[in-house]
Amino acid sequence: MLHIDKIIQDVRKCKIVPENDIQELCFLAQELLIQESNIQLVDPPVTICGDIHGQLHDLLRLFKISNEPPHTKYLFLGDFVDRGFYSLETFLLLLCYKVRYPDRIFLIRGNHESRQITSVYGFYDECMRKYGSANVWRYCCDVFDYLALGAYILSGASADGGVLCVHGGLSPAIETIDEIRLIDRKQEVPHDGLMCDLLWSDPEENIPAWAVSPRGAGYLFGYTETERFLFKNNLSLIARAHQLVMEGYKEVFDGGLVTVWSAPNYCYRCGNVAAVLTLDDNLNRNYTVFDSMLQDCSEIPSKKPVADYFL
Amino acid sequence: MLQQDQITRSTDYDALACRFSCHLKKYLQDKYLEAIISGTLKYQLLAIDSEYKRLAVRRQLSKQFFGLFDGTGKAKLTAKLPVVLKSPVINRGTWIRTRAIDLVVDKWLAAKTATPVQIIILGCGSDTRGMRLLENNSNLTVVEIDFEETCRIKKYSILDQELLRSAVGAQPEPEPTTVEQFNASSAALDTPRYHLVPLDLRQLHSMTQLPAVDPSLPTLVLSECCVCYMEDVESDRVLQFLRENLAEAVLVVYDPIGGESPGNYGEIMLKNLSMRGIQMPSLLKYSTIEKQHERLQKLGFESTNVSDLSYIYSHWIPEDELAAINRLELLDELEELNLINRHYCLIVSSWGSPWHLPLPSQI
Repeated sequence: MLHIDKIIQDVRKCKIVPENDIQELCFLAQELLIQESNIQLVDPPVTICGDIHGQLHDLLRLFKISNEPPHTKYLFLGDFVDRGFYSLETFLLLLCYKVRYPDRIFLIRGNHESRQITSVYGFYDECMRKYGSANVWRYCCDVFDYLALGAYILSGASADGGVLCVHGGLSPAIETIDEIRLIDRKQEVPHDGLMCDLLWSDPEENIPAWAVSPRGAGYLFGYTETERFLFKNNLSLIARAHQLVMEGYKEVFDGGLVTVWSAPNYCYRCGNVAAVLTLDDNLNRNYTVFDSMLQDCSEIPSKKPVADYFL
Repeated sequence: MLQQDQITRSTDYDALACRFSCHLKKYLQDKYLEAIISGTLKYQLLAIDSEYKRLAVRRQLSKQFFGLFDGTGKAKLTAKLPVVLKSPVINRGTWIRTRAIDLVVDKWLAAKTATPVQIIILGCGSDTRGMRLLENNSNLTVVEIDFEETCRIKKYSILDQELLRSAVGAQPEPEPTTVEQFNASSAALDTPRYHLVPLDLRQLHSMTQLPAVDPSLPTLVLSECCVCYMEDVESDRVLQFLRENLAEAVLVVYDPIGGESPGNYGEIMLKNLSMRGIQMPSLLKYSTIEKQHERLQKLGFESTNVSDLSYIYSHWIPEDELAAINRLELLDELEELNLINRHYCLIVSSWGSPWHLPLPSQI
């Protein structure tokens, strides 16, 4: 029998979790996630978090500031892993909370929750370094395939339109939210197509409609397309993550879209602050901005990060 | 050698590893790179007189060069490449830095084909740019200056391999085999067109220390991440000295800049670097391209092109070349790349006979 609370305690202290426990946890999570639809329905109030990227200590700080699960309901917009030094612990912690409190925390997939991207950006190497084999990485990647692609937040108390949450953004091939519900999501993130676009696209203020993304996947989408999508789907807001924002969050398109970024001092180098967005019962927006407190986590064994520079 | 200078010297290996990663990922082609890394590892280890320290340095260097060289500096590149190279962001930044400087140097050389010219590379480290330039420009002499320890390792790396020897036109020499012999040997290398000058730049006060330099020739002085490690007064003095003693020259400076709000990129950079003991006195003082520009103006330089690397990335590189680079590896971290690139500047100044770089300038 898996002792989730014990694993939570260990992970928070960066202690190594036995491989078998991780395997079991990942199975449990899969069973749970497979029942979720591509677009998860979430009731407010909820706190929406952007990219974490393996910055475990900053995630712990986020929980400290916005309240530990299950006291606050959380929605994480993907990119839990890669770049930071504690991708595994970060993902395991979120997964434990998901298994422990399935209705109090929701995880949707980011473009880094993929076998291909994690082999380049650090998560694979971290698992190899910590366990000497790729098993743990494989268990986690299998969970990635079951993560929902988005969330839809609707308030019974407010007449306003709902809030659509995805990691990246819109797709030229998607007109309505219902079309997202039809995707067969249980697969590696494809290189193009609807599923890819949802995880890769970016808003762009200087174009009206669609443009090729310089990232090599997804699209850039402009004001008119966003307006159209909001109107057609009776939405008041698209909340997404995916892009570093120095101020932690940034609303564009007359407040119709917001980027939320939750990894402060990204890669221990960028000097940015982070933010989370809390929607209350009436979908009113409250942003909480926080900075990195790596130095304050003295009770946690912290490997000294050395960021790369051009020297 | 002072410990602080040792640490500054070690940053050369960071740059070398970055270039090697770019080379393996096919951002840059550099046929001398593998040979210079081999030699650098071999002679860096030979220069260490303590067996334990040598073991530690060997392990650290092996890791730094992605485990692709063995304990004697021999490349193990036949092994398939499961290795973790530098991250795409670092590869892209290393590529644009190298490409930008290549562009400036090439444009300058293209304007000077009719006359003998020289390039002085300050704090050259293990860079192979000089060799690449010698190959394609028969009117060029290259003078490289760095700490004695660095020059000695570079000298014997060059002499050790035919490829590098012929690139600089050097003859084979008997090589020192013991630590004592090695560290007692001369670190200078002089051939008709290539000069390796062991000199702490902070001690430069007379042209007699640079007999290889002809002050009347058109000269390009390159400082790529060099003066940023010196105290202001020292780097001011070096630059001023060159300004006063070379008749007709172009100065190319590539340096990190700390930047200003939002965020505190520069302060975090200083903190991160200080974990390795690296100091960078100019980072916050000359934190913007404007301040760098002003600084050089005060020293009597007329800067004709002042840009940060983010500007250069989007204004200097033809679209088809950028597209080809984008295909090399997926880069997810565009915002981060732009942020990092905004914190490095490239400044081109000239004196004697004015020369304008035919590329757009941010200021």
